[in-house]
Parts: sequence; C-alpha cells; structure tokens
Amino acid sequence: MSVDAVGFLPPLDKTETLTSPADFSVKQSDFADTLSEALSETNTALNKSDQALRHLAAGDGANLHSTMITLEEAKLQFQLSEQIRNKLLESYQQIMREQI
Amino acid sequence: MSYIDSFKISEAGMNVERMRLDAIAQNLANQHTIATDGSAPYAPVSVIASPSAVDFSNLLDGQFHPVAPKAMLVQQNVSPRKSYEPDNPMADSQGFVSYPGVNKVNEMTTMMMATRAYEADVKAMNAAKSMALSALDIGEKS
Repeated sequence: MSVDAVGFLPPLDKTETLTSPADFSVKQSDFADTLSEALSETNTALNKSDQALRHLAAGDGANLHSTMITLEEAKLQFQLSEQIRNKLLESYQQIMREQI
Repeated sequence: MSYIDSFKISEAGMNVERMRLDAIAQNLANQHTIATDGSAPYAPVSVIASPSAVDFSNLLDGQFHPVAPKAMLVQQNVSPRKSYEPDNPMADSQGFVSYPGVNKVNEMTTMMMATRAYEADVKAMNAAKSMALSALDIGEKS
C-alpha cells in the first residue's frame, strides 16, 4: 500500500492578502451620533417645508410642485428618524428581555 | 445618489413642462393682439429643452450622473397673419391688419403633450418615494 501525495489540490503558493481588521471598520460612530444627526436633518427639512408653505400662502412661492416635493422630502426624513428610533427601541428591549 | 437627488431629476422635468405650458398659454392669450405703436406684432414663443452638459470625466466610475433638462424660450419662425380689415383703425395703407401667427392646433397639441409629460414626471417621483418608503420597512416584523 503506497501512500501518494495528495495531488488534486493546487499548490499553496498563492498567499492571499488577508485583510486586516482595520479594513472592516466602518465609521465608528455610535447610535447617539446617528440619532442626533437624523434629528437635526429632520429639523432642517421641516423648517424648509414650513418656509415653502408660507411662501406659497403669501403667493410668491416657487412652483407648486417644488413646494410639494419639499414637503414630501421632510415627511420622508421624519419617517426615517422614526424608523431609527424604532430600531433602537427594539435593540434595547431585546437586551432588557435577557434574563440573568 | 440619495433619494433626494432622484426627486430633483423629476423636479427638473416638471419645471420644463410648466414653462412649456406657460409659453403656450401666453401664445394663446396674445393670439389676437395688434401692435398699436407701430412695432412688430407679438412673436409666438416656444420652449426648447436640451439636456444639460454631460461631465465625461467621471463617467466610468459606475455611478449614476443625472442629466437634467434645461429649457430656453425661443421665438417661433412664423410670419404674422394678415387679415383684411379696412375699417380697423390699426389697418395699414392696404387695409391689412397683422395678427401674430399663432398656430392654434400646434399649441393645443403641445399643451396636451406637456400635460402628459408632467403627469409622467409626477408618477416617476411618486414611484421613487414609494421605493424609499419600502426601504424603510426593511426588518419590519409583518
């Protein structure tokens, strides 16, 4: 019984460049930063939409569709902040549910 | 490209169609005007929309670079419509009055096209918005 060398595997002469753990680091911002950023952007969008509505009511606004688009952007931004809040609450509740 | 930039594409299209409609409305409102001070009669205008310049330097990076339409007003190439009204105080020496050469059929057709294009832009924007809303539902327990 002869023991042959395992020949069906390709020779391991290509060393793959391993990615260091530092390459995987996304922006290391914590949730508080994300949430406050989202809230400030929502505030800006809501202010813009408020201003656009005022201009439209005074009669010197831009096109009607521009006002509507500003309103929709503010609404979408607000819903995004709401979803962030939901995700945070979910994670928090999941942690609290764990029994020691 | 963020979803807000997607809205801006449709908004640019809507602006062009609004301008087109305004030009048509102006032409139709002025179709029976006569120049009283001896100047040339009203020249009908139309809107020419051209795509904005494409930046070729970063076309190969795989990103979507929107090309927004730009509109400009040009005067149409029509000659005034002369009508024989000798008892009109504004008639010239041969009794002809020059009215603007507004082609009503063309204007009405262009108006319908502009309306449909505007509605199409609105639909595209609504679709982009509903797509963004669906993305917000990721991870939602049904």
